[in-house]
Amino acid sequence: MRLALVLGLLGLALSGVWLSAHDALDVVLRDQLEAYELQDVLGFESLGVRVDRTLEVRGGELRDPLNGRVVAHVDRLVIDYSVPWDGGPAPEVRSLRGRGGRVLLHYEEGDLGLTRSIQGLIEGIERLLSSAPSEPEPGPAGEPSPLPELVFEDLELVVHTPGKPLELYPGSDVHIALGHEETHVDVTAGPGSGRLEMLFDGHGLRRFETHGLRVSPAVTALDQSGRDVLQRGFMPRGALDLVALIGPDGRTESAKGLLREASVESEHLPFRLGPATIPFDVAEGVMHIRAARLGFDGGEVLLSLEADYVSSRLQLDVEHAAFRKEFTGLIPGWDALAGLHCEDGGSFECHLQIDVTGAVDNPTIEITGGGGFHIEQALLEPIGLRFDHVVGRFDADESTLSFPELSARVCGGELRASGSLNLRDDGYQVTASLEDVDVAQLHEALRSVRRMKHDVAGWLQGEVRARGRLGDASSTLADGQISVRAGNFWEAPTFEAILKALTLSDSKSAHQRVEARFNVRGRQVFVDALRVVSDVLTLAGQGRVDFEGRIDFELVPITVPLGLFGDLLEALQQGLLVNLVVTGTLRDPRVIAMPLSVVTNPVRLLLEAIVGEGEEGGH
Amino acid sequence: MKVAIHCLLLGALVLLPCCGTTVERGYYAPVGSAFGRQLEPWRQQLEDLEVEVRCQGVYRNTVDGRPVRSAHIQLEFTRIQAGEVVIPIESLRLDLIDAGRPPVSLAAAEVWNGRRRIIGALLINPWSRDSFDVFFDDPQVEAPIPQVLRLRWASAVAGGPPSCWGDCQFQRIEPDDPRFPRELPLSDLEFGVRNGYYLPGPGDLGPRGLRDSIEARPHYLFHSP
Repeated sequence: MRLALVLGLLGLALSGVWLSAHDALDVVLRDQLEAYELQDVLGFESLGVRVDRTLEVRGGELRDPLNGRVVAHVDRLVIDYSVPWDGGPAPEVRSLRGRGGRVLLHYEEGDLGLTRSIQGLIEGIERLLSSAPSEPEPGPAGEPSPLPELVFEDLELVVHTPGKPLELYPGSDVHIALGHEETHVDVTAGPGSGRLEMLFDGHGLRRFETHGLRVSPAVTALDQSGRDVLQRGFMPRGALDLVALIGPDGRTESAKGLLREASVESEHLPFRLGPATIPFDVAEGVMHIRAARLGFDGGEVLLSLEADYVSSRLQLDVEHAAFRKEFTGLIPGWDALAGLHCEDGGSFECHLQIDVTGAVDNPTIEITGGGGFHIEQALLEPIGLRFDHVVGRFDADESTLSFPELSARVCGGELRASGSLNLRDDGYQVTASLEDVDVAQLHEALRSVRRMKHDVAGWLQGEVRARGRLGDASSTLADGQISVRAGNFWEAPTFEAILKALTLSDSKSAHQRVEARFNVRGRQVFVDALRVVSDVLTLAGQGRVDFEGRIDFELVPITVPLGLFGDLLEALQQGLLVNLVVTGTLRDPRVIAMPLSVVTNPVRLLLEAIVGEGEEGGH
Repeated sequence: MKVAIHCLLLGALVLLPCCGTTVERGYYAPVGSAFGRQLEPWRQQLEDLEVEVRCQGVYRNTVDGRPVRSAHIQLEFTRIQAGEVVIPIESLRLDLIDAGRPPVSLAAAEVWNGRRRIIGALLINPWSRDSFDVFFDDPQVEAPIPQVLRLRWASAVAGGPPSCWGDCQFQRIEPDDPRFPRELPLSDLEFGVRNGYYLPGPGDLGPRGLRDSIEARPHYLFHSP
């Protein structure tokens, strides 16, 4: 009877057990657990004896003997403790049955308490059997009589993994065939959820098989090293067929299997991979997945993995995939490119090797490889500028993501760029050029968000070299030049104000040519040299404009033909030339005209306007 | 006197069509597209190659001191997959088509990629965009300006056989059409472009050659005024 009760307790524990009873039985059982050193593995809140020869166990716990952590908790379980007795010297316990109850399995990353608990139980059983006062009669062939079978049916297994949805397996059954040499544990995880078989011997878990088992419980039951191997590469889900042999040291000696209907989800991936069938094997501590194909929204990835206990190497090859905007989440630092939105549509290719080393909870990840992309449409939302057919290549090494070539259609012209991003400190450098951009289209694109009413026209070219840190505008250092041909900016507020100051409002030429050389420091653009040339007016000067649109310029206007140098000298002598000081904002500029004779610096600007910007500026 | 005036008017009427044949330049838009103020490109995705074709027109100019009538085609290819694409220059053909006349088929005389003259084949790198200027020269300087231009070419992924054939047609914009680009104001000589049209000056264009430019541009236009 004592054996039956203790076995009952053990069986309950294996499915996440515990008991309850009246006080005396409670005390007896707790003493028994202590006597057989099971108190570190099993526990319960209360135990009740029912009139139908069943025990009702409440608040049972199965604990990890290593650290006392509760790995399974059972709210309620009814156990049939009736023992058939044929009048012999002692009742023979052939099986012990229980049913019902919810078993909550607590699974935490990096822990294998469940198998340690089961192993602790078996060791306790062995101690119990070796000390039992009335051993069962030997069998006919002189062999020891079979040990009782523990059967628990219709359990609701609930797997709780922190940060993940609960997994429910209602209708689960647990069969435990105790043996003198080996113990078999067979868990059917509810209808359609697969099966798990474990074989224990005196050294612990030796063989582990799953048949269509959902992958998370299977991973839960694997030993630490085996789970590390899986987790380093990816955290898959699916139906697992697996045969694993466990060595005396607790490590997986070999394993082979298939993950069917596999899918991979990760916080590092913006999309779900799968479903697919992934064959894998583990030998001599190294796990291999060879060229498994996993589909995703828009394409498929060819995945290969080689992982051991300290490192893993994942090879990902994607070809002929459709571009999805979620892919931008794979680009380090993308979040810092505030307001740049890509739309679905285009194509994508990448060949990446991901090496993971170090601790599971703080791994070192190195990504190398490269690929190409074609994005049909992207929008720089803050200013409403649209880029069409963005195409480019990228390369990644251990610390740098580089874009050796990128181009896009923008406002009838082209943007070409190259650059790199340091993945360790977010430092970037970029060189970009604009070619033949239609200023009217550009202005129209900006008008919607800037509420500009005036019309401008022309064709813009320019180039800029910039460096800084992503997300830190104050670190920006840039320099470059732009020019506009066949332009018409007379209706822009700044030019209107200048014409008004010069009483030239009716003299608008359709051919403006604008050239500017500039550098950027933080949030200010310093225009080192500005020249605006037209039939009726030439302006030369310098100044600055900040990102909020505030301006401060000094300009010299020349309203006489530059070719008539004599006329120009005469104008100088007569004090007819003025220096323009332009302040305020781009929308609301203020222009003050001062006689050129009272200032000195504009003389240099004037000469530059006459002869050009010289060799330094390349104009 | 009246007879003389009538004769003059009759002569003018007879000569007018002849004057029509001396229109110095033809402008084109893709067949099927609406004419507009902007130069319209022909656009299509051919396998994994985005193609834009612009016709800058048919005009008289001189090449190596020899007067020719040239068709100037601008090509832009965007390769949106891995693998280099090759377009042999000999596969580029331009048919000049007029009703009632047998078509004239021209081979490409010169191909330029920016400032670089291309010999042999156009190469488009994977995941990149490239622009080309192609000139087809017709020694029949006085031949009528064709109503339709048909451009054909063959492309292949490097190392493979030709796998894709391009074929596009351009319809002439008639001189009396209000959208005829001659009505646009000319661009400046240095820049040369107005609404996408190469319009550095009226009438015939000068010797064809590489123009210097301090600015980065997809095309470096080729004529002295």
